[in-house]
Amino acid sequence: MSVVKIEKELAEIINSKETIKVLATNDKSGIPHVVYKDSIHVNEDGNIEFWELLESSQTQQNLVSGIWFNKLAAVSVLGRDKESYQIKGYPVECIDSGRYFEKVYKEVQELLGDVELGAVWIIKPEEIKEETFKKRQREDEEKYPILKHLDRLAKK
Amino acid sequence: MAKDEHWREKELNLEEVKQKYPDVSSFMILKVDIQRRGIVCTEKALELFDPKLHSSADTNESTYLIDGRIKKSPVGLTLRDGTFIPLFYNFTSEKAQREAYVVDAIDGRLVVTDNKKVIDRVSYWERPDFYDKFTSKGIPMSSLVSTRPQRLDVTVSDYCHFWDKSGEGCKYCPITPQFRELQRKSDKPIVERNDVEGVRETIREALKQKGRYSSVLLSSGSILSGKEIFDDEVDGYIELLQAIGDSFESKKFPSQIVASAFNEKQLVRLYEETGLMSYTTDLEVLNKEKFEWICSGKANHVGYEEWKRRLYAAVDIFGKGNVSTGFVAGVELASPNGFDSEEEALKVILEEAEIIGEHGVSFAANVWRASPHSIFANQNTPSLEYYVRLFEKLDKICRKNGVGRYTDDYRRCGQHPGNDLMRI
Repeated sequence: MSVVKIEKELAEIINSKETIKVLATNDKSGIPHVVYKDSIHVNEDGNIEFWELLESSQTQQNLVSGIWFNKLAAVSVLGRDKESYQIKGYPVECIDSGRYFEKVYKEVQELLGDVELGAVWIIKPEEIKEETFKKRQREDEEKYPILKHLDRLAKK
Repeated sequence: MAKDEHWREKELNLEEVKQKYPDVSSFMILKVDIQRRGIVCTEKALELFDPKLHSSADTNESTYLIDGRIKKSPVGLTLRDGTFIPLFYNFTSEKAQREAYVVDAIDGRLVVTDNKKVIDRVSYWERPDFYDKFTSKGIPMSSLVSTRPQRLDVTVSDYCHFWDKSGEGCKYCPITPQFRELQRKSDKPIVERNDVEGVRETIREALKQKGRYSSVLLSSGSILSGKEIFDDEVDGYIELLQAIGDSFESKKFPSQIVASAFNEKQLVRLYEETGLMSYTTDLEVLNKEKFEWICSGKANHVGYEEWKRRLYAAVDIFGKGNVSTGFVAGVELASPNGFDSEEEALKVILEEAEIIGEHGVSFAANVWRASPHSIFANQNTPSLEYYVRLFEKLDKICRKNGVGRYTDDYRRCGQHPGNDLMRI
């Protein structure tokens, strides 16, 4: 199995506080669920990690479903300079007890005040795709020149 | 019963059951099978076990001997999906009908294996900070309160008085026979009741470890004495719950008792005089006739129908979703008076579960192990598939009735694998 690695530059974008971070999951029957997750970051092992504060949330349920039935989750990030990436991966671990959980629990409370921590989730990347619009547009036009409105090609 | 060398050929194995039930969590199926067959650790796995870092069986070491060889042993495992498996070593691998799973260390990582095949990565439960502390009277706090990864466990009394009269103890249960054996072997008297002041101090100390606990569980062997049956047991719970409640600002705190079947007056006292949030009383066997045979003490002193009636009455006091009943799944097939087939047992048990569920009660089903010291020590337990079918149906019953989520669940308990299914 090939190992998909998040390169340093991308990790920096993902870990930046200025980056907008979104997580998409599906429930068991395939219904999608998309949420903003500021805590998404790349951890020391090179995996995606984030904190699910609400134990009863739909995201929590969907990730449990993901780890049980091998379903992909997707993270989309939009950096300060409009660079955008999608990372698909499998949830591989739900940390809801132990020293590391307690460390994050304290961090969360320092950051957000009196809130809960449901679990720390680890998502192992399987596929990384740049979605920055300019780059995607270039790729699209090179690969599918037929997909263009004629007025864009018309003489001015 | 002697070990059947060909047992693997006679029932579906873990992989076959996973394939046959693709909509059921494979983690849950593994948990059931570990509980059903037992588990042992290799020397290599125990090299990764550090009693200073990991939770070990401090409070009742003799319960956790592995074939009499190991004194400090891990008390639980955590799976990758965040669920817990309490480890019970009170089976002996020479006598068990099926081979136990094996916890091993491969490339420095802790794994569960079966037949030398790696099933999944696991980790040991971590040791709580307060286990190194003593009360003001010098009592080790670990002897007063034990833990699961997210729960504090407090016992009112280790002794069940249904065992006072010969033949009235529940036939699958090893706890009171083990307690009696400990008393026999011990140089000093073993105190039946917990130390209320010591528990008060221990809980206050435990809560200093932020993020470590999300609930408190109190349990007890049945205490039949009092003006009305169980009055003294109720007093014991109230006294301890009030002592524990001293550590909280809010009156109510996430808590559960697993107790005898109390009458309305006793239940109201528990609800009004303490911070208790949920109540469990174990029917043990979901069939009147089998209950009367297996739990004759409960049957003689309270009776099956009255036990159920009290369970339903508790829903009116604690609220729907806050009352559950435990049962020892599989024991209904014990011989000689149990059901003749798994098919018949499933049909009868699930019909009863439907009725109980409709009253707003959820379930905390244990996987039956034929424990040494119990009357049923040498019995054979049901197939893995039996449990998967049972838990799949129980899950549907709980969903239909809107009960079962967050009571005796994957995180606060871990002992009832069927309840893990409610996570999604």
